[in-house]
Amino acid sequence: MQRNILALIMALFVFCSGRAASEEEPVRIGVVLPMSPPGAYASGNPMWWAVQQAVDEVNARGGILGREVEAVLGDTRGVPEEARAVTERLITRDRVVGVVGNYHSSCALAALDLFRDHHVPYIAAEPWADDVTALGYEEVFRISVTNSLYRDITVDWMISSGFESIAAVQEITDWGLGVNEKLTQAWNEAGIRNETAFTDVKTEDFTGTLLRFTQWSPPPDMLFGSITGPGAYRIIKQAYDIGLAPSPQTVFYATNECLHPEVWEVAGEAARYITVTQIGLPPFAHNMVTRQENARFEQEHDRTMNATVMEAYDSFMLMCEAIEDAGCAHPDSIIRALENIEWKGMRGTYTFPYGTDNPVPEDQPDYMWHQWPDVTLYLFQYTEVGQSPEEGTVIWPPEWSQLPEGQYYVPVPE
Amino acid sequence: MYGADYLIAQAANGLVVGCLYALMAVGLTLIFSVLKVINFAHGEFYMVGGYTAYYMVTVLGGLHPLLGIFFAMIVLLGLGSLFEVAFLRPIHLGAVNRPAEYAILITFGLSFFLQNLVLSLAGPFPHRSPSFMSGGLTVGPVTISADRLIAAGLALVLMIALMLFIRATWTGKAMRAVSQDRDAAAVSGINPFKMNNIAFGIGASLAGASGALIAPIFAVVPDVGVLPSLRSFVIVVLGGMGSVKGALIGGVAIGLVESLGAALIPDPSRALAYRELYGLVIFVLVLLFRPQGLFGEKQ
Amino acid sequence: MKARHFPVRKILFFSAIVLLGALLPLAVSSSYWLHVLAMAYFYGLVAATWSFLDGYAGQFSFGNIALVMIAGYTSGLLGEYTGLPLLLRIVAGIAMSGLVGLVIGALCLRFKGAYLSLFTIAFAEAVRLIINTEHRFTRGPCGLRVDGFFDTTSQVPYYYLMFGILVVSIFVMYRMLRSKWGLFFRAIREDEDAASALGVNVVRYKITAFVVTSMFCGVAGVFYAHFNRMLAPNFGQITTMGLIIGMAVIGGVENLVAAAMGGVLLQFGLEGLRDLGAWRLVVFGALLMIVLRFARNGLLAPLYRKLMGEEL
Repeated sequence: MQRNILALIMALFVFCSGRAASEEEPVRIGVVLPMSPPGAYASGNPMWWAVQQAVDEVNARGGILGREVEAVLGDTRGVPEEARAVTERLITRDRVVGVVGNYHSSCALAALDLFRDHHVPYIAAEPWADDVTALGYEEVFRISVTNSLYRDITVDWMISSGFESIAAVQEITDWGLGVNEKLTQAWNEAGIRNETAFTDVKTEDFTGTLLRFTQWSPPPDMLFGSITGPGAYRIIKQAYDIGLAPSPQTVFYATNECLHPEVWEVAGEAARYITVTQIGLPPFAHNMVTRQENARFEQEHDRTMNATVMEAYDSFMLMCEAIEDAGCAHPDSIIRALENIEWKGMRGTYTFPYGTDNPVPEDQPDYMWHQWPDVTLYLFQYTEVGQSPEEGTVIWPPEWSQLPEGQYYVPVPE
Repeated sequence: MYGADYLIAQAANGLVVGCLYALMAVGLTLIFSVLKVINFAHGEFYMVGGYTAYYMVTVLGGLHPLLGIFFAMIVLLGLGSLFEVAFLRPIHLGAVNRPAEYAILITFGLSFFLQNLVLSLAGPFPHRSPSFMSGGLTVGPVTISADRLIAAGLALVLMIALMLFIRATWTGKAMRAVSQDRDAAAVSGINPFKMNNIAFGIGASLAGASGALIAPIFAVVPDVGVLPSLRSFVIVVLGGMGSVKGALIGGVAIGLVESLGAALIPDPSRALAYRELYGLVIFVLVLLFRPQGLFGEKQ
Repeated sequence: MKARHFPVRKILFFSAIVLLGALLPLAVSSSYWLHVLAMAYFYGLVAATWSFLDGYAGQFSFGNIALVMIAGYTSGLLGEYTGLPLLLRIVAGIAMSGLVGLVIGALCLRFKGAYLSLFTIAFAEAVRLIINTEHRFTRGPCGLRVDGFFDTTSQVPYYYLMFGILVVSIFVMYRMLRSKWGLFFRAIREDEDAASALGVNVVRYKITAFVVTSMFCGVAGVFYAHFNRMLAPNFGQITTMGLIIGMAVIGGVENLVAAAMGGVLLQFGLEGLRDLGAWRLVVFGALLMIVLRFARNGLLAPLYRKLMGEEL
C-alpha cells in the first residue's frame, strides 16, 4: 500500500514538471502584508509572525513535497501601487508558487489581476471587500469574512438589541468605507436613525465630534467607534471621559483592533463593557489546533493570536496543504487541490465548495465564489478590566450567547 | 441649534489641545529663527520624546510620569545637538550650494530613519504612559481629564520659561542676536555655531516634551508625529516664522479653529474629516493677506 | 544664441543613454524589473520637473505630487463618469494640472523661500484630504480603478511609453531652459528685484515656470494612473514628495538629466533594499542622510560635469 502511494507520488512528480525547480530549491510562497506606515502595520507584523510560526512547523515536519518551504515577504505599506509592485516582484522575480495574505482590500484589489494574468493561486487572508471573490477569478480564494456577511450578522444583533439610534465615527480607509456603506444601507432599511462622522484614521482627538453626539436627545443607543490603529483605543477613552459611551444609555461597539491587549494599556477602564467582533469561533468552540498554535504564539510573542493573525497562519498552512495535496507546484494542480480541500485549521475546517466544477448557484451572492462558506464571527463584551478576548462574554449569535435568553448585551451598571 | 454650554465645552477642549500644539510649534519656530532651517524631523522628535517617556516610566525606572518628561527633554536635547553638529553644520560653514534644499532633505532623511528605526525597535503596537493623575475636572458644562489639564498647564509653563530664557539670559539674547544678523553677532563676540547648537537642541527637546506630554493622553506609535508636524508648519506660518509668541498664539488658535470647526460645520459626516483643512484654510488666508504671519516682521 | 562648437560629448552621451534605455527590455526579461524601471522613469520625470522649478526658477515647491494626483484623478474620474475617449481624458488631465499650476503660481507670487514651501505643503495636504474625504465621488482610499493604456499584460509597451515620455519631456524642458526663458528664470532666481529692474517681466515668467512644470507633472500623473490602473490618495503623501526631492537633490538640482537619473537611482535603491526586510526603510533613511552629508551638492551632477569636461 505504502509503496503504491509512493509510486503515485512519483508519477505525479513526473507529470508535474511545471514551474517547480530543482529538488533542492525551497518551495516559495509569497506573503503580502502591510508592515510599515502608512499601512496597518500593527496588524501586518503579528500576521507575519504567525506565518513564520507556520513555516517553522512545516519545515520541522519535513517541508512540503520533500522540500523546504520558504515564505517570501512583500511589504505593501498599505499603498495599492506598492502592493501591485511587490506582488509582481514575488511572482516574476522570486517565482513563488502561490501568494497569501493582504490586510487592506484596496491592496488586494490592486494586485488581483496579476494573479489572473500570471496564473498564480492566491488566498486572501483579511480583505473584506466583496469584490475580491465576487470578481470570480479562478486563482483567488478567501478565508476571511466579507463586508456583506459582516453586515448581515452584526445588524441582526443591533436590531435584536432594539437600537433605535446609532452614532458612528468612521475612519476613511478602504476597510472602513466598505463596512460603512453596507451598514448604513442596512440601518436605513431597518429604520434605525443613524449618523456617521467620517475621519482620518490618524486622528488623535475625537472629542469634538463625540461632544456633538452628546447633544442628541435621547442619547444614541449605540456608538460605533469604527477606527483601526491606535485611534481605536483613543476614541474609547475619549467617549468614556466625556460620559458618552460605554454608559447605561449607550452601548460602545468597537472594531476588532480591540482584540489586542493594548486596548487595556491605552483605554484602561474605559474599555470595560465595550462590544467587539471576533472573526472566528468563540473559545469554547476552539479545536486542538487553535489551542496548540495559540499557546505557541503566546509563548513566543507574549500575546494571543486574534482572528486576523489566525487568518494569516491558516492561509499560509492552507496553501502548503494544497501544494502537498496537489503533489506538485503547478498552479492548475494547486487550484484544483484548493477547490477539493478539506483541511482543519485554527478557525475551523476549510472548504471552497463553489468553484470551477460547482459554480455559485443563483440564490447565493457572487462573493461566494472560492469563499470559505463557514466563515463566522461572534460578538463579545469585555466585562472586566484586563480580560483577554477569550475571557469576554459572548453575546451574539444566540446559539453561542452566554447571556440569558432575550438579553443581547451586558448593560453598564448605573 | 446648539446651546452656549456646548460651545463652551468645545472651546475649552480646543484651548487645552491648542496649548499642546503650541509647545511643539514653538520648538519648530525657534529652530527656524536661529538656524533658518525648516526641521522636517520635528514630528519624529515628538514621537521619540513620547517613547522615551514611556520607556523611562514603565520599563526602565518606574519613575514618576512627570520625571519621564524631564528625561525625554534631556534625550532630545542630546539627539538634537548631535544631529546639528553632524549634519547641519556644513550649511553654516558655507559648504552647501543650496542650503534650503539640503536642510529640508537631510531632516526629511532623519525623519524617515527615526520613524522606521522606532518601528523596528519598539514594535508596531501603541504604548501609553501611565496617567499623570487619574480623574477629571468638571466646571459647569466642561469636563476635562486631569491628564489633559496637566499637560496643557505644563506646556504653558515650558513656553513661558522659554520666553523668559530668551529675554533674560545672556544665551537667550545671543540667540536672538544670531537670529537677527549672523555676521553682526559673530563680530560682537557671539559664537553663532554654538547658538545654532543650543537652539536646535532646545527646539528638539520642546518637541520631545510635547511628545512626552501627549503619551498618556493619545498614546504613541511610530508614526504618531506625522499629523502634528504638518500642523506645526501651519501654526508657525500663522504666527509668523521665527516668532515664539506667534507660535504660542497660533497654536491655541489652530486648536480652537479645529475644535469649533468640527463642532459647528453643519454636515456632520464631513465636519471631523476636514478638521485639518480648517487650519489650512486659515493658513492660506493669513499667507495671502499677511504673508509675514500674524506676528512676523516684514521680510 | 548659437553654440560656438558642436557639443560632441553631450550628444554622444545622450545618444548612449537613449540607446541603452531603448535596448534594455531585450536584456531584462523579468516583467518585475520592467515595472520597476517604468516606475523609476516616472519618478525621474517628477524629479526633473521639481529641478526645473527649484533648480532653475528658484521656486521651492512641495506641490508636484499633488499636481500628479490632480492629472491622474481628472483622467480617471472622467473615465468613471463620462466615458470620454482615453486621449481626450489625458489632455484634460494635463490641462487641469496646468490650470491649477496657474492658480498656484499666481498665489505664490506673494511668498518667497520657506513660506512658499510651507504653502505648497498645505496645498498638497489639502488635495489629499479632499480626495480622501469626498470618497463618494473619488472612491477615496478604496482606490479608483482606471483603464490601462494598452490591453496587454506585458510590461514592454508601458516601458517604452514611459521611457519615450521621459526622454521627450526632458528634451522639451531642456530646450526651454536653453532659450531666453531659461535666462530669465535664472535671473529671477538670483535676484528678483534686479531682474525686474532690467525689464524682465517677473510675474509672467514665474507663472510660466509654474504652469510648465505643472503640465509635465500632469504628463507624469496620467501615465501613473493608466499604468498602475489604480489611484489612491495615500500616494500623494508628503513622504512621497520628500522622496522625489531626495531624488532630485541626490542627482543634482541644477541639472534636469541628473535629477531624473537620481530618480531612477533612488527608486532602484529602494527596490534593491527590499531583501533587508524590516530594516529596509531604516537603512534607506540612514543612507539618504549619509550620502547627502558627503555629497552635499548632489551625487550625479558633479560626475556628469566631469564627463562633459565642464569646469565648475
